[in-house]
Amino acid sequence: MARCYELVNAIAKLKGEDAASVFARREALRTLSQLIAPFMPHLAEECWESLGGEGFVATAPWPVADPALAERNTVTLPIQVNGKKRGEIEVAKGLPQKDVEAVALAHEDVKRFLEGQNVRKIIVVADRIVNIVAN
Amino acid sequence: MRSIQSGTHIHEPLVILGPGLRVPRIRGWVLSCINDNATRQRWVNMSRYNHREVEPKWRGRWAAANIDRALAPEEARGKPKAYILEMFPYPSGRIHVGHSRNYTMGDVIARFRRANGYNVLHPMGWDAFGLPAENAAMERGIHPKGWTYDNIAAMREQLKLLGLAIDWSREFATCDASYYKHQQAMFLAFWRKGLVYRKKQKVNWDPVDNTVLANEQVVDGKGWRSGAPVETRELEQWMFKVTAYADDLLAAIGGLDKWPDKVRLMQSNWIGKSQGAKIWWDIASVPEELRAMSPATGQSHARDPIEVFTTRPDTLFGASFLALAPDHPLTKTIAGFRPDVAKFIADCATLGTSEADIEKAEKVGIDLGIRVKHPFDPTWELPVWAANFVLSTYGSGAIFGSPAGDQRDLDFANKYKLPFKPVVLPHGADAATHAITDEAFTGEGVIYNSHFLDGLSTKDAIARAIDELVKREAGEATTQWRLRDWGVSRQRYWGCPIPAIHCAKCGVVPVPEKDLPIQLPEDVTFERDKPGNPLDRHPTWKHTKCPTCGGAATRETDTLDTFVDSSWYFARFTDAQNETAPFDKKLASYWLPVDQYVGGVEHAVLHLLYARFFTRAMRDCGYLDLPSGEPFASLFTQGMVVHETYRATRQVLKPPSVHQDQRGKWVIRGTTVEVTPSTPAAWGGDPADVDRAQRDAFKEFKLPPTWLTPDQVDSSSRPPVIMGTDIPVSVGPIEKMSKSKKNVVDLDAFVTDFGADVARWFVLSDSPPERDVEWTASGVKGAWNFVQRVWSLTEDHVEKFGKQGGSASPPAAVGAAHALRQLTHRTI
Ligand SMILES: [Zn+2]
Repeated sequence: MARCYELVNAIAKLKGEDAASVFARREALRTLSQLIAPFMPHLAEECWESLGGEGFVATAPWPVADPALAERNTVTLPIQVNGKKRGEIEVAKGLPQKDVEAVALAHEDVKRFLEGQNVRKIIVVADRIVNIVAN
Repeated sequence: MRSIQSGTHIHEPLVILGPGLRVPRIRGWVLSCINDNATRQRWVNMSRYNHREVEPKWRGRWAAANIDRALAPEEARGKPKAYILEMFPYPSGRIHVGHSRNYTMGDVIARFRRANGYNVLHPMGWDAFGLPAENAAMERGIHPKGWTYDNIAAMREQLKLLGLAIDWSREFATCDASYYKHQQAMFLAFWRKGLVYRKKQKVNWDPVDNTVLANEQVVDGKGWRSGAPVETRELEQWMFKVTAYADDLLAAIGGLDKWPDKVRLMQSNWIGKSQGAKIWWDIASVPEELRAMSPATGQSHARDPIEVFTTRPDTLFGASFLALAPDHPLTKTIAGFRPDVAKFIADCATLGTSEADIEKAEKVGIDLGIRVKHPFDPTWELPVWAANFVLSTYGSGAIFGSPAGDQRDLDFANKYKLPFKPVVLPHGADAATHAITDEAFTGEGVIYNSHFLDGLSTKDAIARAIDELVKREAGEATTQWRLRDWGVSRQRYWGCPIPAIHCAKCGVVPVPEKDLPIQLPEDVTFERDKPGNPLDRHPTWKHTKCPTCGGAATRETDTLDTFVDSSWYFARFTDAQNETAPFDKKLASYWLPVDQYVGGVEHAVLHLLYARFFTRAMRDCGYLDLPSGEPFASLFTQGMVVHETYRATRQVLKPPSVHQDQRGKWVIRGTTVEVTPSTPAAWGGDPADVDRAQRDAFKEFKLPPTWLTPDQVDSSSRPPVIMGTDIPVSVGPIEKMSKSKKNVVDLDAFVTDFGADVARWFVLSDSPPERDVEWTASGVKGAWNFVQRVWSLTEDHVEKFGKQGGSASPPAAVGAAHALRQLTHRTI
């Protein structure tokens, strides 16, 4: 049930009207109506019907997750400055080194810490850690 | 302020009725929790979703399409089966929100299984026999049958309001003759199989309700309903031989891996297998009176050894006394010449027969004047007492007291100054200094002070002691069970008649199967002052002919314990319309066991045990192909819905907060008020001079101490007050919703105001399902907001982009849209 709240919040947050956003939102809403159907069957039917669902949501087969999408394909990288952890960033798995560096340097805490120092070297161990050397 | 009839609900009209507002009535108590105008306005403006139109519409469509019907095995076409069942309700009158959790939980599982491709059986019925119907008959002159079926009709409508995916075509009530007819046939089959017998048994007798009470119905030695001190009586009872399956009922618990551990433990403890020894204690001396009354040959209390059961023969050298149950034959014999022993027995009879009652009572006893010889040392003599803590139903109704190793024995020995010595040395303790005074040592250790057992561990000493007992012909190894056979006779009208006939010539004869059902007569009377069973009092019903000899005979007037009705209903649901058999063997074998059983933990022992017994008996009588004999593969015990309790304290009131309802009763917010009429002296004068209103002003009104419903209370102020007044209310503990505490929220009023989905979402939210959930206004509001939010998001989307809006295949998604798709698929 907590996951349903999370999904509802995410749907409300996506405001875009481009094709991709509309598709994503509609897919999320349809899925939501299926996920809440065992708990709130009346509301679920009303939503399902509005979204053009066929028949009853009560008898529709349970949605199947696309494994490629369901897979967690981001990683959390700690950022160290001179050997001390100063923050964390979440990036897509296998993101090119240049992009990882940019995201790391844009991190608020890291930025504050690097103020007035020169960045000498950035070492990115792919999908593991970012080390910044500065003085 | 309009006057309110006692028992009705208070409806507060909402302040503003704008076009967006489709919820004109909201329960006062919830409103009062959101009593700031701006908040209330915001909440109301969000009400875009009209559950009052939507919910009945979908229930109608589901029913029309018959989507909740379970498929016959041959229709299922490879779909796996899922039998989901909630413990069926007793039709007490109305369903409150507290009950709804049980059904909602089962329904969520049933709907989830259906969506996942299962052929789902999710039925509903009524556990409809029982005492409350007879009490209603006595108190209000309504026939139990009418009362029961009226309640069923009302509760069925309430359950339907919840939108449960139930196959209603399988509904039945256990008081339908079409149901209990098969129960009677099954009773006869069990009888033929040797699983039914008659036995004189000691029972708890309620002298006011004139009925036998189960041990659980005796509270502090008093009848749970009447409050009268319970008596012990001997009655010929119909018994089900549950103990025939004792071993299997215990062993199979190990395989019930989808049952809560707590319930499995309770079942094991109830069956209570213990390994131990029987010990025969030779008589050393008896009172002269006993010797005089004993026959010279054959059985004799003056000569026969006393048999004792123990699980701890290793502590034999710590023995201090023997104690007999108050109703042990020897105790009763001695009472024949000792009035003090007779009085002791009579006092114990008022105690109640349950272990819990006996556990609570102070341990008392009386020396019977008999001495016995120790089995390992004939020169050592021990006294024999009668004691109230010894159960006649456990072992042979006699124990040996080993005070150092048992707290009850120790308390008893200390009270009566009986000498004893410790014989088990805890690990690490010093034999020279280890002493027992007020606290027994019940654990294991090394045996000492015990001759040939010295130095052995508890386990080895038990084996050695039993060897020695066998060698001396003073005892043997044996197994004891706590589990008893099930007495099913009830001296009640509103139950399933037992299909047996009593003939003076032929004895007890089964009713021929062709004569079933033996139906309850409907022309019966219920009067408080006429004791006993209305079936027994009926002028003609019990008179019949003996099926064997044709002579005049009488019917059995006892009816079956209602636990029998609920011991096989789950099997009936698999083929509920079958007229010739309880159920078709193939259908029952297809659907059983129940895949998910949901119910209250209060049924963890008896109902489940009896159902397990019945399923085995049905299997062995050929009704069922179910090798395990286990009816419920998975069990879930759900928590309760609890709510604050409200109580008004006694206080003096003044009009106009008090007013008369339509029946002329003085009430305040639906609660009846005590009125002391005004006297002419109070307002001084001739009645003719004073109008009614003035006279009322001089009456004395008192609010009696009483429980109040959440409806009657404005809980937004602390302390809460009676709605619409400033009369304070004290807030009691948060308790399980129950009628007596009035902390119930009525289901259909709630559904009318907020919708079934809000109720369903709320009772399942906020706490783990096996724990209690507290019913709070803020929790309800949270569920309400969630419903509104889901609908608003959906409606907004459809208004902008249409029903089918957007592309059919996913466009390449990036950024936020991609993240939402990921979350969607992850949530699945
Ligand atoms: Zn006869």
